[in-house]
Amino acid sequence: MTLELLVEIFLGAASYWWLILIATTVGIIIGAIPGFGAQNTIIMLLPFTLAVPVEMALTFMVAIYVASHMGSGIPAILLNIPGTGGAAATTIDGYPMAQKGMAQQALVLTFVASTLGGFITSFITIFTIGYLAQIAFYLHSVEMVVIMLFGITLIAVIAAKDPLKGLISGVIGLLIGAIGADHIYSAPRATFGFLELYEGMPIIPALIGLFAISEALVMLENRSMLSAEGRERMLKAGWRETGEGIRMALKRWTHITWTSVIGLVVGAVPGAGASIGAFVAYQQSRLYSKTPEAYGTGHPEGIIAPEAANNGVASGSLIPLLVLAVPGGTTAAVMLVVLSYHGVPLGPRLFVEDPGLAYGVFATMVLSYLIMMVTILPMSRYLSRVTLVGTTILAPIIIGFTLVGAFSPRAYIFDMGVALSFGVLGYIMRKTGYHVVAMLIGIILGPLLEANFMRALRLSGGEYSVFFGSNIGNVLWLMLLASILFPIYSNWRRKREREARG
Amino acid sequence: MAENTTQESQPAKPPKQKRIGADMIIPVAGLVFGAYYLHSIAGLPAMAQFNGRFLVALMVVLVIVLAFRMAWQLRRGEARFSFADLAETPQTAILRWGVLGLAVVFTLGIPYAGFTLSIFLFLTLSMFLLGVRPWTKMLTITVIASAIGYLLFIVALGARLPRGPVENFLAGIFG
Repeated sequence: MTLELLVEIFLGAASYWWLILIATTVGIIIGAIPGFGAQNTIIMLLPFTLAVPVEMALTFMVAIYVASHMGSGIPAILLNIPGTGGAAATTIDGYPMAQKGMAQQALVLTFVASTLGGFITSFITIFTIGYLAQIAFYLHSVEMVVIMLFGITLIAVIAAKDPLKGLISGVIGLLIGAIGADHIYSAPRATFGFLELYEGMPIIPALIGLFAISEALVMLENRSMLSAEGRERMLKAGWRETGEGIRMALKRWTHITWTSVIGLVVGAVPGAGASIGAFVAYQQSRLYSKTPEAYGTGHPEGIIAPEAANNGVASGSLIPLLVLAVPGGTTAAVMLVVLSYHGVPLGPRLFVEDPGLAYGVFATMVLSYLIMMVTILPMSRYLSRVTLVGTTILAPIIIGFTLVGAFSPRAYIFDMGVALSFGVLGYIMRKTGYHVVAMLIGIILGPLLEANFMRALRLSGGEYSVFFGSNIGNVLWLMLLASILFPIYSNWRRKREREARG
Repeated sequence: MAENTTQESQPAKPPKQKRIGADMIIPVAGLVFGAYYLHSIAGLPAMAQFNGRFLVALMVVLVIVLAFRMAWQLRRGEARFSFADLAETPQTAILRWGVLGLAVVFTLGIPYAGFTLSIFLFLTLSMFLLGVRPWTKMLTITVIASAIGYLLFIVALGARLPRGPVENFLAGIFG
């Protein structure tokens, strides 16, 4: 990377500033609507991206992609409904903070952490892309199986107040994720006779049911989602609260930096995804915090960590696409189609033949984050007013519009039924202390876990010992074991201390 | 300091008992689903059954641990068997399940009435049931929400939503 090339790629990206402005606005809106992920919007706008020059198409797709990552945190904070799985961890501290009447500060924390985290990781990626791409070479199907199980364990232990219930939710989620046609024999499994489940459990309707519909049903127990004090504080909120949020975020700039780097590294692993990245960052943040007990009650660092990581993942997940031609996620897969249509040579050749285009992706990201910082921050004051709307108005709007979001990706009425079923399931889970996040992540990781399970077994000729035959895998197994045993030990120690104090 | 004095002068409260009956609903539902899953993969080769068997076995182990923990808590008097966590007043139940019923009707009706009319009717009837008044305020909200939905999803995003009389009428005017 020469200085000349660096200047060239940034000037190239800056020439499309108007397109970035439009795309980031669209991206934030669609990211905030559960069900309308970046991939669906890029698919809908395929005629545009296929018709314009490749630089323009790439700028448009990348800007929508990063903006949707940021937008997904907005409903997570205001309504306890993550726009995508990557924002699921944001609900843990974001929503309690909003309920205290601090939605504006929570939104600002999200925006600053997201934009700063994304900005930093995009910049880092420009200089370290070659090294980060090597992560994928060390992680094979065995390691991926352990990573998936480690991810679900972490989430169960972190998100749920009761780790055992969290683990049960996660395992049920993994089993639901394994519904559909078998990877090798294509035999339908546990489809209840529905052809619509042949391709597996649709994730968007499950997300909408578990989060949006169940939350709306719970919401009806009170007239307002805010506490009495929170409502009073929210009514008095003005620009000062935006400033307070900025100060709270900037004071924690080191926190934003290292948690976004966690997201970047996790994102560089094909298939690991934003949900794991956000939860790993949240767990690490809590582990090294001086006030771990404050997490889950509306702690600023509990919002910063997953949001910075979520946007770090956005940078990382494009690395396997560009360097190895392996899409790291669904949106990257759609981008692969568009780039292939334009005849762009993906893989190492791209960096030799057209380095401007390859590195330009990350320059576009850097500029997108800069533009979003300017456009979205002033909006937090107005967006936070949503929390003042009564639940009798909010609940029907949430149910009605998110059901439409469930229908949208596949255009099946069946998917709206799936969302309603998961809504009832999520409602029972919330009332009985089973965390819906663990189940959702299980459903997301279920098919990936199974695919890697089968691959590892086939490559080893059916030898189950293969899962303990790699050094990296064994280290990950130990970490998984530690993540289960450590909370049990901490609880036991706290209990002993309490008993000793009488 | 005053707070501490007040706390000391109060008699010690007995520890609050947990209610754990409803806690078994999700695990039992999970086990039933697990049994169905195993039944559905029974005819597949052993390798194809491994993932399902592993997950069901893991779930059984976790549910057994939970059951033991519940039994231990009941034995020590730390918990009592009750489904009160799911209990609700008849009025709340009517509202909650009424809205859910309307959502089912909305889902079944959307292919025939189209997105805009369906969402308008769903929002209006739900808000009416939940007691949003006066009528003018309620109708203003539902009309604006339906219009925003139409403009955002159908006009701006071009989503493949069911078209009905409203969409056809507007398409006839604006093309």
